[in-house]
Amino acid sequence: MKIHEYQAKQLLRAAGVAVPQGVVARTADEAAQAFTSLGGSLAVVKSQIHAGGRGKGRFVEQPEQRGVVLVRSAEEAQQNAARMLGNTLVTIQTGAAGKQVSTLFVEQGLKIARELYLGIVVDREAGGPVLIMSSEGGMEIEEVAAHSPEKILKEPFDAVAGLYPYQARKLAYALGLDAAAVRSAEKFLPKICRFFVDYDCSMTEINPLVVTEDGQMLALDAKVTFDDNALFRHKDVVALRDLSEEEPAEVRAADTGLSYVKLNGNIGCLVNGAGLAMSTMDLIKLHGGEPANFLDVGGGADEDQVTEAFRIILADSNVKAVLVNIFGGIMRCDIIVSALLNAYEKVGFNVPLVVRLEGTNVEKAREMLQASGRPIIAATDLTDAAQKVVRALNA
Amino acid sequence: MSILVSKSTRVITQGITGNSGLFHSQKCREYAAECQPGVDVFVGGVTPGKGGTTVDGFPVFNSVREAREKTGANTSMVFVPPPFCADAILEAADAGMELIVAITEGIPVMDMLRVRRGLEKSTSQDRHHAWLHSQAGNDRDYQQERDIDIRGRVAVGSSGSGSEHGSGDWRGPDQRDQLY
Repeated sequence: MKIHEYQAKQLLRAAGVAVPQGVVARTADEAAQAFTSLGGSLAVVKSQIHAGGRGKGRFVEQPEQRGVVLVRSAEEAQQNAARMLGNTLVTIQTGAAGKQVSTLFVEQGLKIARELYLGIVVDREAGGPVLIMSSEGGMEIEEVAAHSPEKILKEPFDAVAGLYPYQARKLAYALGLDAAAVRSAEKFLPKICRFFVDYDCSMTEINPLVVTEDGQMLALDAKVTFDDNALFRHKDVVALRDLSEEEPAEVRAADTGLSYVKLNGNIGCLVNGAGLAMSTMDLIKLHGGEPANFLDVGGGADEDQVTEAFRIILADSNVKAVLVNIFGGIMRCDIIVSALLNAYEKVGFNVPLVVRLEGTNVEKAREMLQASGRPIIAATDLTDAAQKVVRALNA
Repeated sequence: MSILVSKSTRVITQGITGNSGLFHSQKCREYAAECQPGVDVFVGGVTPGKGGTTVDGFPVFNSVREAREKTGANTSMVFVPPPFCADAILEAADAGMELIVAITEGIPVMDMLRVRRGLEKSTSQDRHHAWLHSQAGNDRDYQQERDIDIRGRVAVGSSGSGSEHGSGDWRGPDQRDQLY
């Protein structure tokens, strides 16, 4: 689960991590008041959407307006806010449709000496969380990794003990920070690492992480993603969920108890099991296709859930073919076929359908398919299925 | 491939009074009876607060330690809900279980890191790959794990459905029919 920048900063502040002073604004007048209440001569007005790239993003209705702007007066804050609120921001991460901005975050301007990068993730190799830092703040970390990997510093830390101050100093010295900034990093870095563990984050990214002219380290941006499996113990985080920021099909799937992730390809997939679903997507790509989604119906789905799964897949107008891959362990193949025939009746398939079934009650399922007389392409194994669905697409 | 399950394996189920725990224990017991007729391989279970009762012939204990002492179990399979899984795994390790099998779906990552840390002091860090089916079986047909990453006494399979698929393919078409 993701949250907005201003929400992430509220949580960080409560955890003792330094963030700039900021005020939430939902109207242009509130933005003007926010500027005044911050009391400085400079502020930043920031669109609150989950996607990144806001600073370079532009509004559909106001092509000259950027998603993040520096303002020097309450009037300027108000005018910019009026052009942003209610309008649609398009960034490299939103897709062409963009996202409507309904909340702004007005933050104090800072005298910035250094812009750094900070990220925390769980690293499989290290077998635990790792703090990633780079001198190249404000840049996409993937780009830095590709062009100058030597500028990326990694410091694994223990999830139970946290990041030790000596580890913070090690990074601070490697980044060439001055004495005051090293002292600030010694407090900042262990605290943000503690936040990552305590809140069951799957990612915490601060880009840029800034050092001010007076040597203070602060989180200028904040992107936090939480481990969904741990949300049961973070009711305060669940309360911050913004459904309007999530893919409607994914919300619908989650409500039905399905794991669905929308992708950009044109082959819809319905699979049981996350591992098998990923293998299925790999094989589709191997044979020259592009999956339109990840969909795991799980081990114990009933007919209604599977029917809903077909509805969700077919509702995606990009889908030009569908691949069903079931290796029935707990899941019975006849339930899948029954739901599939149901979907044929209620939703209608106007795209080719390739079905590969194996496992529990497979004979019964195959007989049902045969008896239905529907134009379904049967596949014998996973490779055969992937090849057939790619061929059906190109036919 | 390491063989983790042998003729001397004796298994308890943590969470045996739950639906999944009981269901899989029953299936395992059926399968074990085919492999080792006349031998009790699945010897009981644990549900805190329900010690002293029985469920479908399985004696239930309040703690893993008690279950080990009373039944001689050396292996545990964990069927408690994900939020309580880390605690259950650590309890099993503390009670001296030699092998602990848990399905990881739904367990918070941070919990598994704590489990890993908790086990470090008492276990080796060798990596093996294993197929957990050999003698007693984890379940009759589908809870087999082929590719299993072993750290000490904790077996971590990277994918349930992938493992089913793998073990099905591994057996080959002739034998695959026997699975169902």
